Amino acid sequence: MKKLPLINRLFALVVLLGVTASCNNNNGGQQGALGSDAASQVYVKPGEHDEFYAFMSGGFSGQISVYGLPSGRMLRVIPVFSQDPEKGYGYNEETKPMLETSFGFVPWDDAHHPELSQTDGVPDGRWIFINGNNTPRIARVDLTTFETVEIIEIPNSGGNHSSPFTTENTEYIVAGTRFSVPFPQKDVAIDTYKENFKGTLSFVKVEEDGAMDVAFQVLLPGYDYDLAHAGKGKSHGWMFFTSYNTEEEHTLLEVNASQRDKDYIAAINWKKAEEYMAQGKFKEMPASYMRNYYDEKKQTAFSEERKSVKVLIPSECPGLVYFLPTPKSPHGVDVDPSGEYIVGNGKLSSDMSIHSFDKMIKAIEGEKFETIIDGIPVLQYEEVLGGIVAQAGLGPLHTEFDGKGNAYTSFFISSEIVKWNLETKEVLDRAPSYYSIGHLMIPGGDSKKPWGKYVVALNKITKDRYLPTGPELTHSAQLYDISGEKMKLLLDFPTIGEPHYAQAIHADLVKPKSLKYYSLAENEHEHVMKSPTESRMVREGNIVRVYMGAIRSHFTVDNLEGFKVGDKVYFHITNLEQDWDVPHGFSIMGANNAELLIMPGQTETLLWEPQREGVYPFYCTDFCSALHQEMQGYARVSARDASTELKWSLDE
Amino acid sequence: MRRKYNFIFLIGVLLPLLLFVFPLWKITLTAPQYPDGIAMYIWINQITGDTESTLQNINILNHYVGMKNIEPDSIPELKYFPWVVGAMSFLGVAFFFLRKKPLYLTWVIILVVLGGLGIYDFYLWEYDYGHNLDPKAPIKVPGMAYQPPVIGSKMLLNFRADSWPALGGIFLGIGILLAFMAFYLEHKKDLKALAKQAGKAVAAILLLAFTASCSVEPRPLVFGTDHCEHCKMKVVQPQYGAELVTSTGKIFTFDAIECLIQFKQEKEWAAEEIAFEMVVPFDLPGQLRAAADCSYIRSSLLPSPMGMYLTAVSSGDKIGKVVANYDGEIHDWTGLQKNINLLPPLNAGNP
Repeated sequence: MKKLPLINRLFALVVLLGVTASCNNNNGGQQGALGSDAASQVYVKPGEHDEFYAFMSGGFSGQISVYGLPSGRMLRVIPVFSQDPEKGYGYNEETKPMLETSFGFVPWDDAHHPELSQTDGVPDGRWIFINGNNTPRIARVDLTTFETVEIIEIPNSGGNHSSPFTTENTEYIVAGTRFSVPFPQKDVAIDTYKENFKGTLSFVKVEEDGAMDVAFQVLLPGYDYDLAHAGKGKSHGWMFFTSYNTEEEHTLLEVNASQRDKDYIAAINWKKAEEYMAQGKFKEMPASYMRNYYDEKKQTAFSEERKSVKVLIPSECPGLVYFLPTPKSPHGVDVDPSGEYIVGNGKLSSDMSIHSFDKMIKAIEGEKFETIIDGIPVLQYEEVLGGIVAQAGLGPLHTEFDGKGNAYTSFFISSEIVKWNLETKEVLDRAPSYYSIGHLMIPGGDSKKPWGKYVVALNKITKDRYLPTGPELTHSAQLYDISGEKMKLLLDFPTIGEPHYAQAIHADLVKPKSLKYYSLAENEHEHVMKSPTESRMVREGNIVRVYMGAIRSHFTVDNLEGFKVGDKVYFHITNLEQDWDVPHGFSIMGANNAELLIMPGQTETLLWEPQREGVYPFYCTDFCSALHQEMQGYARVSARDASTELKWSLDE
Repeated sequence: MRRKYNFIFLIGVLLPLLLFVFPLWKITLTAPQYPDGIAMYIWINQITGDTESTLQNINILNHYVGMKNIEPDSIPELKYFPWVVGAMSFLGVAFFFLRKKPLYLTWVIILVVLGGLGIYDFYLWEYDYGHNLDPKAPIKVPGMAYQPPVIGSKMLLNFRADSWPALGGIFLGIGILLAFMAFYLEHKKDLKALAKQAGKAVAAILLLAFTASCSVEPRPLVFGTDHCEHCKMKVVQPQYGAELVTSTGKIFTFDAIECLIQFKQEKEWAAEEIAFEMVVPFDLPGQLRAAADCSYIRSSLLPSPMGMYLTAVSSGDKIGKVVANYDGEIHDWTGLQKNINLLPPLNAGNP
């Protein structure tokens, strides 16, 4: 072979180098030297934005926390079911009604499952819903303001766990009772469980503007209804709920409710339910539950009591409910993006049963019933079974999908994520989680079109993963890259409360709609003041209302006199700013509640009940400007019988 | 060919009308905390921002250094600029129909002169906003003024101010160029003679315009900066001071009422030569009120800067209060001017 002249060889080398370099660029770090570096995959440069918003339930903190993915940076905590002194939520007069229930003011709940609203089976970025497990409630959070705007209580429920899963176009979100309770509630001996206790599955209608209303409840046997998911595509119109304790036991459930080989997935035909509702085949039952909603114009939450609920009874509504036998105490029930596979995660079973929607319809048409319970046909297991994922792991809990034909299932006991193929039911990969994974989440992973790029493990046990902080540790989330054939652990990040479940959405669907500030012109708060000249104090008996504005860097009146011991003082404070990111805070010495944190254009109210004579300072708590520290004032409190007149001033 | 040049001129004279659709000038402020910048648009008839609240936000920022609020309602230019622009386009169209070519150049020169004046006026406003600072401002940086550039970029503390013509201003410029081009292309040969004729026309029209449009207004006193025209001392006490504006718009400032009166007597001006006589009332420190609307008190307890114990009070209602507090004789503006040299001397503590 003839030797190439030197110059030609050099040229070839340059070309080769050029090609290699351009290959690396095209792959954006997926391959080559950078590709192996997990840190670069989660590194979002300072000043740049994450690709996804992740909404993590705060679990027993009662809140939702918002994270960016893939960085795992926390962006905000949205107060939902728990009072939040940082933001004044549940402390200020405007949001107190949000936490009203038929039991009165309940300032905490156990928030489990965030659920994004959907259009055509895909998250649309309008709202996120979340359930309150303890005092059964569902909340709706507006994703333009990231504020809780509605909370509805669920009647005839004893623990709202299988909630708030949505139908394809957010026609309904559901609420199933985890604990069956006497129906209707009454004083009975607990060992009369089997005769007196019932379960209800509620369908909450969501209007175009988001307003929620309990449309109907389906009355079921006294099982524990655990989780749910709606059908999609061809199975649109159906809702699936898992159940355990079909033994209907009432004591030492860990043993007594784990005896049967199979429990049931309840398949509810909600389109049929709508027909029965239209025909008037419901029973109107007396009830008491609250609906609390935030009036955007009035910037105030209102509570209204609802006094009855419509109930459908399966024995009177044939074709409404079927039971699908599923081994064994199934936890999650997850429907794949095509709507065909209904995955029952039998947490005490070594195999996972995957039901087929087509087979279910055939079994119903062919009346392949094993038995009938309270008018509900139980379909024969073999007739609905679409396949089994055998010996995949221990303790399967939840499954999400990547939209490429694969499913990812969390296994609590064996502490791992298992990737398997939906068609072949073959296990493809497994990755350990640290430790004891509960839910897992792929952005859009329970929808028709998942963004199958990452899976997040939401772990229950932390142990040694971070610097220790005494007996109580943070709960850990973990991010895995699932774009390749094998899962790859990228990042651990701590979370607030218990990140029970989470949902994520591409940032482009939320970011452009994010509100920068409230329009002062559109503020119709009952006690708004729109100009410094409207600053004033008004006394009605022992109630004193202070109308005060906040604008850089002063309160529009700062010397307030004429308060008396025993007064109820309402500080109605309007943030007069109309610019992005200029909140003002307000706090006054000795207030028995919290601060106000008022966004531009917003009016909020703090109740202060002065107890002692004297002069007490108030000030802005949010570092608003260079002269924030000067943003202060004094309130003079006179004796109960003093004759001090109301007097307010600024710069006099 | 001729037709074509005519139409270039017509387009040129119509382009300024786009100032009714697009802003003339744009000032952008950027700082680390304002990554997107705050943009303010100056139109011929209004001042706007990229949001409804931009002006409020700029005013909030400006108040820290003591700049005045930008209030479009208080800027008279915004009321007559639309008429000027409309008139210019109208004049241009008239010239187009008159078909007298030198007039094309006349139009261009008038507009260039008016434009130049407009820019000078803009500079004066900016100068006033940037230099005329509230002495009580929370943030005072010695030697610092906050005048944004007329054109270009400048750092003002933490903000970078960029000032450039906006779309309307650019169209105006193109209009002038087109009109000039039309004239030039048409008259390459006999430029000189035409230029002379055009020049005459410009002079005539500008003279007319000037006499009609010159605005004469008093301006606020700047305490600590302004000088007394009569006694040459600095104007410092915010409860005393006066200002005189002549009918040609010339402004004289004084540290005391007596200085204004004596200055007037020396000048021996006729009444029509004086447009405004303003004094600072004792009860409205720092503000100017028409001298004729005020009352005057002489009290040995109120020494005025030039030793005449002469104090103005804004209204008849207030004077009773001041008399009750300080005890003294009361005068009105006419009587005071007539008798100022006859007033007996007063000494503190010896009424």
